[in-house]
Amino acid sequence: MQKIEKLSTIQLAIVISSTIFGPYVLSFPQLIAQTADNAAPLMTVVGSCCAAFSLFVFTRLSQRFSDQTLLSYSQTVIGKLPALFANCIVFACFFITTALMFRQFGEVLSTVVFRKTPIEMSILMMLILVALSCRRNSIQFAYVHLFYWPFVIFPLLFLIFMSMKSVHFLNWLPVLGNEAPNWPLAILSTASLYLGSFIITMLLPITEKPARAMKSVMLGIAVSASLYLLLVLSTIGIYGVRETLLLIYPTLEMARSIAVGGDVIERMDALFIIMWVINVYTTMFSTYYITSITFSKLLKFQDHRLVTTLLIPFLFGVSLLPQDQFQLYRFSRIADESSYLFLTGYALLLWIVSVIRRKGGHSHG
Amino acid sequence: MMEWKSKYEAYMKKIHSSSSSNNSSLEGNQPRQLEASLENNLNMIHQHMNHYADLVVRQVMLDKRDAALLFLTSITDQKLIQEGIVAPMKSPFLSHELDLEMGKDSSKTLDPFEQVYRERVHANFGQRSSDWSVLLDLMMKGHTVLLIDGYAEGVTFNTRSIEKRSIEQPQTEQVIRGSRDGFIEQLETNLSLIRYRLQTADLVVETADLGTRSKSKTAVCYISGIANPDLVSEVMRRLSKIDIGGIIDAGYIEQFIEDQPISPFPQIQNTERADKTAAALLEGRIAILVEGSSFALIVPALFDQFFQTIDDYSERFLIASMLRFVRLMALIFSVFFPSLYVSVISYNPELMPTDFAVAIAGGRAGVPFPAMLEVLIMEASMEVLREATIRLPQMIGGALSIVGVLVIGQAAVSAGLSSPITVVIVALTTIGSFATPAYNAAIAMRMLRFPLIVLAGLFGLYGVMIGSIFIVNHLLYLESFGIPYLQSILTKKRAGIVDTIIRAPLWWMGKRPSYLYTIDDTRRGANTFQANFNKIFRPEETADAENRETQHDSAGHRDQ
Repeated sequence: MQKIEKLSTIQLAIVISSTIFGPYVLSFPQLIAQTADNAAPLMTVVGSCCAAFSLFVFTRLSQRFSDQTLLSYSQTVIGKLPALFANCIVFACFFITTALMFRQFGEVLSTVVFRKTPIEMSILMMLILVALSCRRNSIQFAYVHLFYWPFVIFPLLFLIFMSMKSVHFLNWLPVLGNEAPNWPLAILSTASLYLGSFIITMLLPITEKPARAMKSVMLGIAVSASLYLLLVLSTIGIYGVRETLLLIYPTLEMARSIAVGGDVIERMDALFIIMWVINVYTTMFSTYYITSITFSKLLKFQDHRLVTTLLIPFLFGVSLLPQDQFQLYRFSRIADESSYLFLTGYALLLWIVSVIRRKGGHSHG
Repeated sequence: MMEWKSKYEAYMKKIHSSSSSNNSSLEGNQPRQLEASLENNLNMIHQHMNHYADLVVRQVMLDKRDAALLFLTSITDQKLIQEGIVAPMKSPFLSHELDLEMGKDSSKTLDPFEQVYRERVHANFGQRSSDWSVLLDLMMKGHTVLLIDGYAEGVTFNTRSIEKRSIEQPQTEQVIRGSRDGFIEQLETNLSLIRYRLQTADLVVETADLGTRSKSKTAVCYISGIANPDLVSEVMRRLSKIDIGGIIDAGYIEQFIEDQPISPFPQIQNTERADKTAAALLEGRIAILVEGSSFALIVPALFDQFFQTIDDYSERFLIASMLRFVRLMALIFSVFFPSLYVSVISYNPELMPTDFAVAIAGGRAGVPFPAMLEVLIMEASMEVLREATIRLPQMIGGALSIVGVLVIGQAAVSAGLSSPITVVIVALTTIGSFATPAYNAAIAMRMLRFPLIVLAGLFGLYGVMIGSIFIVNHLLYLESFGIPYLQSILTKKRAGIVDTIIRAPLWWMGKRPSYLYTIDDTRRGANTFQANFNKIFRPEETADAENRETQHDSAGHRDQ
């Protein structure tokens, strides 16, 4: 009895938000404070809007070709060879960002939890877990997100609400920042958090009502963006910008400072890190899935299962390339931001060309 | 003793003769067709079936013709054969029969088999054939074969009768509130238990034999207006692919038709309860029953079904929902408690309140092993104790459990083998796993805690989380007859969630589970929900709206 189940509007929103909401939860407040100073909350909002625009482009583009993935229709829009070249870059983007994300995850574990365990071990465990779960079709991919979504969202919400009492509103001021913030950089560093939203180009063919996909992706990004905003507001509110800059993982510090239920659980940080593992897992699962699908399409494989296994050693190798944590963060910033720019530009190009050449079906809306 | 000696010699002679003349097996030189002469037919039977101790050849005279009845005494109803077949055959001709015979020649040409069945025999007709294999197969199932001299044909009459135990309360699925009758080994009795609960012409029971040698009768039950035809055809397709010598139990079938054999989780539900089977059929599922097994298989089976009992539906819904929650908690206890304990003790003692951590450290002071090893030893001995008590007779089982409790409880602590808190953890885990109604689901969960304990010992909470993601992903990817195993939780329709974590009121569950794609998806009348909703939230309006004659006032008197 094989019925093809399709994703509903709400389910698509959940997948999008769980993909976007990723491992950067730990370091994002420090990152944004670095580039935007006191304007951090404002920049988060602006950056999210920017990311929402990219997502809008991805979705509109996919809706024109609602039964294909980007990798297939790009060939009909801009021709075989240019499309092949561009898709290679798409693959490279996700390959590098995924590898660096694995490394960042390993770094967090080595600094916070396993100080003596070699970083290779923690990376490899996660890598194999993610690779094994990627050997499934897109519907089962969505199920994984659906199941873990509450475990991604609620621990963080809980943490934010528990720490609300220590927020000093004065720390938020001035909203526009003390000096004019470095707008492009700040916006870019926020917007590149939402790289995973590219998954919509692969999920649209299996959604129930492609015409209503726009509503669901916007809902998804709104949920994640408001969580990021709440996070920035509470960290900046508690520690102030200057102190936030000194902390590598401000969110973890926040978790460490609260106690629940009359000190029954005295320190939340260990628990929070564990819930964060789920958060990391869902995001990496998405990016790994995009990577393997792209790669298998490039190689013209019918099945992406072989590719997921083949990618393990390469991803592992690349994830070990950065020498130290500072280099790692510099690399990953560059990789994320350039990937974001490329993907948005590429999608925009495809959209404009398809509109001009009248390719694809009916444009919805 | 002498008899056995002669039998032994005869058997050895048979083996030697068969090996010398090569492939002259029983089927090889057995004639396919009957012969006209009764003598020859009976000779053939005597020749080839002389080792059938319970074979009876009863010769009778029928209308001045020689006839013979063949049957096996062990699985036939002797009384029926004597009174329903032999006696009427021997009885003198009735007057009108005589008239017929004297008067009209046409009646003489009437087929004797037909005549016997129509006018004499009281047993049900089986089959008519001139093929030995067909007749013998039916005889093996308890039919009585009638052969008449001069005809190269035979007919069978159904005289099957098998010893059976009485219907008892199911041992493995006891309920507080629910019916007390469970399935037994006989398929016919089991089908009758289902049929009297579902007295509708839509209940379809399709039967066929399964197993090349056991020829076990297998029944597939579904309700034709509800069950999805694709699902029914899928079940039949999978059953048709089974090619095995014998089906001893429904579990044999289960292993051949499940989706993913390499999984600890059961993907097909089995039940001894007839009411549970009837409820499943009403939901749009399919039941498979087999002769000789007191369990029905229910497909498709999703994860949450293994945590539901029939009590849930007969009790008040609030209480039932609470009980479901308790079961869920017990499940989480039984899987995660030991591994969480190990990881907190070994890696994150700061998670506990200081006083408690100190107390635990004090308890563990004399224990020489690391926490992981300690918990593994205790859990393993608990499993051994559990396995040992299941098989023992009750008289010995009681004694054993007392010894086991002493060893695992008090003595282990005083001997310094484990800390008191470990005993508490092990006890909670074991009790928790017994709260799961389905034994096969509970044991799967219980076994999965061992790898989790090892992961916890090696990687702490991170290891537990990685292990849990593995298990959950496996559950997410698992399918039962093409339906995702956790579909009832992930489904987008409301009908899924109302019967999983909570048990909503019956009037709320108006639709059948959406993932079954039933033909008729409404369970209850369209306005049942609205009526009950109004009853709760707008009591004064409903009193006006409804027929006042059926209303009772608060004192319990009928309102006139």
